[in-house]
Amino acid sequence: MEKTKPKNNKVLLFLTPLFMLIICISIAIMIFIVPYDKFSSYLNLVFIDKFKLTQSSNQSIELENKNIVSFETKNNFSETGEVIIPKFAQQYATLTCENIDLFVPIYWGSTSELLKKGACQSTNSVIVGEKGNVVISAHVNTFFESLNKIEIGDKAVLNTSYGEFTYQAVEKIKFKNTNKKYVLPTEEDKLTLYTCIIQVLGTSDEREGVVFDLVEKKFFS
Amino acid sequence: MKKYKNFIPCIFFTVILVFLTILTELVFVTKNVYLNSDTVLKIVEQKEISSKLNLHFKSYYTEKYNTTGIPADVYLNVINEEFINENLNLIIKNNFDFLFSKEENIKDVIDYKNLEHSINGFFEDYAKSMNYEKNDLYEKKVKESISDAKIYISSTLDIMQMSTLKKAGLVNKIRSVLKYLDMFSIIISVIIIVDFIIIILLNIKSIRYVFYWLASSCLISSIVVALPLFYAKYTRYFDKFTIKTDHIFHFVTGYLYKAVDSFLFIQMIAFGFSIILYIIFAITTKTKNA
Repeated sequence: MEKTKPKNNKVLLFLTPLFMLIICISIAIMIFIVPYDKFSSYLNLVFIDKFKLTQSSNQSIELENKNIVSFETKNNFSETGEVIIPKFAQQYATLTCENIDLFVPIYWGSTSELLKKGACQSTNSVIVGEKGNVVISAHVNTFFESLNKIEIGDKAVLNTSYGEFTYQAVEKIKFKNTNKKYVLPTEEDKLTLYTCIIQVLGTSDEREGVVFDLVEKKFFS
Repeated sequence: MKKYKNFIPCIFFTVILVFLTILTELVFVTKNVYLNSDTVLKIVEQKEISSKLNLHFKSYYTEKYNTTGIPADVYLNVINEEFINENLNLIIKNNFDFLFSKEENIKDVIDYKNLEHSINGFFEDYAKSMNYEKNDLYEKKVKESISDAKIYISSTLDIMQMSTLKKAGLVNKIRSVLKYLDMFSIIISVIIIVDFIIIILLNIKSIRYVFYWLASSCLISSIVVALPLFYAKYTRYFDKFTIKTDHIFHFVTGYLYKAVDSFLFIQMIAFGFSIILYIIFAITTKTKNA
């Protein structure tokens, strides 16, 4: 009995710190989980890049008054369908070009106010999804800052509430503002993006851009 | 049973001592490491933040030429690594002064004389070559270019993101913590002393057990803190942050890893101290039994 007592003492002395460790770890998890969450959110707030929208293949996402509205997953597509004619000044599509990190809302019609909010589609051009030339322009010092970085072969996607349309760059263009060659209607399905070439002083009369051919049409059904 | 009647209270007060030890370590490291401009300056040097910033400005102003028509050299002749290094040091020291002060606004400490001279010079040469009359539009363009450059340079060199911290209301939160830090450390020290006295009183009949409880508190506090820190360090946990800007990424992760290393170092000391105390307890127990 006497011999077992010292043994029991040793076991107790050994197990007690282990037992206290388990208690302390449990308490630490409970105490520090809230400050850890707050610390992570402060780090995100201050240091992490602003929300970057990425599209999944099944979802159509639109910007509406700077709030992102996500549509229900659309799984059924077809090559033919009906377009929805937008109202003047309505934001009815988004333009994405992953190669240059471009994500821009598209407005139907072009005014100085709309050009502050996104890229504008000329009302003389066809609605996205219709046959012909879709012509979209934006300011070079805002939304189309990186337009000249698009290379031949890069893809651009126009998303609307009625479908998704993929284009591929085929030609880089430069023209004077008086030359209407690239903004006229065409027989082929095209997308023409253009912007100003900036001049340090005075107004710019030169334009540059990219012409795309339609490669895929997906109307939601 | 009589022998163990103080056992449970000792466990209780030792657990309290563990958390008090952790808090004391945290206050010490915060005051002497985290809130020290020298720590930040060392990280800036180790992570070569100045050269990363230099590359960033080169790439930015080269791309900006497409949208402004102003050649990159107009800016880059002034914004070189020496300029960046000098102003980075000034900004970091200024940020800490701001944090410890009651001022509402952060001062811009960068000297833009050379930059203004360079931009003015470019516009004058350009206007001369185009025979452009220096009208209101000209003056407006020059002012805008200078103002845009100043804003961009000061926000880019602010790697501690002090202006963003201020906008998010975090500067006031940090200041309120700093205000009470000294008082808090005094209170913690008093509570530790009281706790220690209680443990001594509970073990007054077998004083050698004080070494045991003290050793256990040091050991447990070091393990509780070291485990998550080892995990963060060896899994490179902070590298998972999605910060696209290279110099900010390296600065933030460098600062966080430095924080982890400093705290880990203290845990190593605490662990070593606990081993020494356990040895003293073992020796005194053997001596008594002998």
